[in-house]
Amino acid sequence: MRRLILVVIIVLVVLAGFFFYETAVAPETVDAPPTATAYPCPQATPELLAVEPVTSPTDAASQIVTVTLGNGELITITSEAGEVGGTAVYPTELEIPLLPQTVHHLTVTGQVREVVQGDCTYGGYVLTTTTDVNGDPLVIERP
Amino acid sequence: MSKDDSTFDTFTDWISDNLRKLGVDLGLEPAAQQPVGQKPEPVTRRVSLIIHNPTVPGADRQRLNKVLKWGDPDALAAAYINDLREISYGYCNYEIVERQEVDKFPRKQDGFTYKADDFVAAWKAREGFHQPDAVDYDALLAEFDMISKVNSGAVDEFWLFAFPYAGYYESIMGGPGAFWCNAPPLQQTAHAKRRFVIMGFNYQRGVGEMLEAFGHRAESIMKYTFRNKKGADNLWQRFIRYDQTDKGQAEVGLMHFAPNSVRDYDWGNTTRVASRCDNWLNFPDLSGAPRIVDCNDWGKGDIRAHHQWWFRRLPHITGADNGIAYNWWQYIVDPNLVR
Repeated sequence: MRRLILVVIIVLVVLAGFFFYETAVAPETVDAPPTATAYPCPQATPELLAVEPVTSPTDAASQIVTVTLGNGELITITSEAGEVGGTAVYPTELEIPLLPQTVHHLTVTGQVREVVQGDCTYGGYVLTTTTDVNGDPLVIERP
Repeated sequence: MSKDDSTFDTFTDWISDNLRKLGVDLGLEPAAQQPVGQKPEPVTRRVSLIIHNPTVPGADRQRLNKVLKWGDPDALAAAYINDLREISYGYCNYEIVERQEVDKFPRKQDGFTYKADDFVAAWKAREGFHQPDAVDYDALLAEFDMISKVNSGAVDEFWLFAFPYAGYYESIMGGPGAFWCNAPPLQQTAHAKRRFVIMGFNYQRGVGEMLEAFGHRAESIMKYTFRNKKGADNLWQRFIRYDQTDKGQAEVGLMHFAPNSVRDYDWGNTTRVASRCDNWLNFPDLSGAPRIVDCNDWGKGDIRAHHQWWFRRLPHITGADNGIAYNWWQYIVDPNLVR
């Protein structure tokens, strides 16, 4: 008797399994999209912060550094000679001072503009780099 | 174990055995039947590579990536495949089984299509890009016969490569029971025979950004895989802890957040925090003590290095517990295995 009950359970489970498999996995037709589902915002990769290679060593008292930042708002360059900043345009060219007998280690910081797309907000963050587009250190030596 | 538990286990085993004799697929993970702690058998996934790289009439009909000095999509794809194989300990092997380089721009959702010279002008001025930006996935599905290729088994997933402002999602899932994959599922593909992912890459950027797109796919799929696990059973929620959200309890973190990050993409943070990130290399034994870490552990701010470091800590051995395989890569690579 006990075995008979279990066999009945198995049969019911198998039938239910086939039913749900057919309806959930392989529908013949596609119904209208379900009502709006609350999805999270897609995660985005960071904007590109790219700095062109610098010239080193150099006798010049200053050097133009060229920076590109996607959706850029503000660019700042800090080094042993101080801080220089400016509004991000395309491309951003900032003239940085160079001290004599000094090795300058540049840190380039870019503020990314905040952008609202529907219910999602992107940007509004800061990117920083100490290397150029080729991955070489942003170092300028002035003898 | 109590007598009741023992009786119940015997009962469920007996039912399982009989169901198998009836030929019923119980949906158990193959991993559940493997010995624990071995290296899983590698898998190969077939990729259709679709590169939107139009010629530009105003630049001697050179391809767009050459005109704007962007990357080579084939080289990027090759490096990405190598990275995934290496960071999955040999498990994940992508094979490009077809390649199409398309001499046009993909159609946007509202029907708009860029003209090559107009796009180059917009790029140089950094303004004038079309809105809405989103691409028309219906058009892509039809043009590249995606459902048929998935159904026949010829292709497991699609990699779209294009320029900035192409309007692709970094990843999106289609097929029966498709779920959020860093984008809303493609509901119109529910009639396909199996789930598939369409990746969206940008040949202006590098392999680090491609790994990030794959990482967001991984985050989405693992969150869904563990959706019914609560508290300590939800190992995904444990894996993603970082110091800012779980003070003193950091583990590996997320794509955007290393263990010590205080904002998105903060992979160059030099602040030292305690983290149990390396315990995941000994999975399933997560009992080790935390150690002090900072950005020197994951590449000092380099996007690719951080993401490689993160992926290497995903569980990647045979075995299973609580209905979830110890090899999380299998779900990320093949979402059909997610129950």
